[in-house]
Amino acid sequence: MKPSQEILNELKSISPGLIQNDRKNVFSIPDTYFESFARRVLLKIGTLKTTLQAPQGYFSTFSNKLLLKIEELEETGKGSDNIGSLLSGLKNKNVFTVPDGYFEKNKIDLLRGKSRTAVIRPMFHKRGIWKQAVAAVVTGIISINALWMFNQSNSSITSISEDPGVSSYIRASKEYKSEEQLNEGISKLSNDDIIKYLSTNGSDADNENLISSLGEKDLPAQSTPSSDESENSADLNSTK
Amino acid sequence: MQTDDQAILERFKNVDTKESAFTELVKKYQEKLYWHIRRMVIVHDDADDVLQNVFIKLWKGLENFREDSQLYTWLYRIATNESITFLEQRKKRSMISISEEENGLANQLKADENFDANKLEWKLQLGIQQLPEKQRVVFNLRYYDEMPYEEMSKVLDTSVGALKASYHHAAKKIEDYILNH
Repeated sequence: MKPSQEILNELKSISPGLIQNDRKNVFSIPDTYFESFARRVLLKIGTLKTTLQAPQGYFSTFSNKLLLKIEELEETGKGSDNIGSLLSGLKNKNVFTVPDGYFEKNKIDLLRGKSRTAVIRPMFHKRGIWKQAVAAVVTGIISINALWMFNQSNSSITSISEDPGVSSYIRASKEYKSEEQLNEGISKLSNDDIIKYLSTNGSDADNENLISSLGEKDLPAQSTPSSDESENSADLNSTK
Repeated sequence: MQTDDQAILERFKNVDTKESAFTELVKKYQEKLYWHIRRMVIVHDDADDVLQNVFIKLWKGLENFREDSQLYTWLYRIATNESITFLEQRKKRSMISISEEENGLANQLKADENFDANKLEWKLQLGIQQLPEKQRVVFNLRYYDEMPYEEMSKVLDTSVGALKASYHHAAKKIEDYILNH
């Protein structure tokens, strides 16, 4: 593009060397740059939200239209056609089986309240290493004490049971290994043994404990007549 | 103010015709402003960014535009300021001095696929890139856009005399550059 005469005249007085230049443009730009520029600026400003626009009121009526379409498809039975004939034929066939009467039994169990509750086991215990260490030490102390006491009691039992002056029931008690055997042994004790034991080892507390542990049925009935006949006749003859 | 621009501005103030009026303004001035910016920043993508910013500023400020001045002048003022701001930001980002930045612009010219050091038009561009920023703006506005000094005075807020002197110095420097390269 040639410069105007005004520019040429000016250059002539300042820099004649530049007059020869015909102002060729050395820069290039992408094709159609200016054609789309205004649109790009408007998009950047935000006035043109999108190039694709939905009709007015489209979204407000969309859900109703969709429901009507579904209803229509269900009525005409076209819904299954969309899935495909092979899949639609197979969709109601169940390949899984359950044991006979499973659901009936389950129903009865539920009515009886046999529902099982799941046990929740924590995946991680939140115990610290110090807590575990303290627990281990306490457990160790208890175990050692129990063992020591057990040995002490065993040795005393052994020494007592081996004494010839000790009663036979005490010697026999060494053989008791369980509570049942102990109860059985006690039931076999003679009255003499019991009296002898209480006279030597019993205390007021033991007596109270013994009385309180007895039931009413073990007491003699109030209406039971006395075995002493003289007493009975005296009562009969009395005028009171 | 030009009658055409005044009519467009009236339409811009109406909500219904705002967008079409703006599009018309963009189409009217985009090429002139683009080349003014491109000669300053050299690279097309940079020129595109700056030009978009110019029109975005126009959109935001057009309603408050004082109609006692020409829209054309105002647009050139925005474009010039945006170009200089862009160059300054680029200098800060790359932490280089002004002279190195000018060499950088020259290097960007040389990187162009069509660059030919033997052709006068490329020598002229290299000569222009040797000029200080404001002198370069004056030379470009006068030499390429053929802007009258009075208009340029409004754009650059500088006296006509100072602009003439600046153009004189710029032309001399470019001539020297072309003769010596």
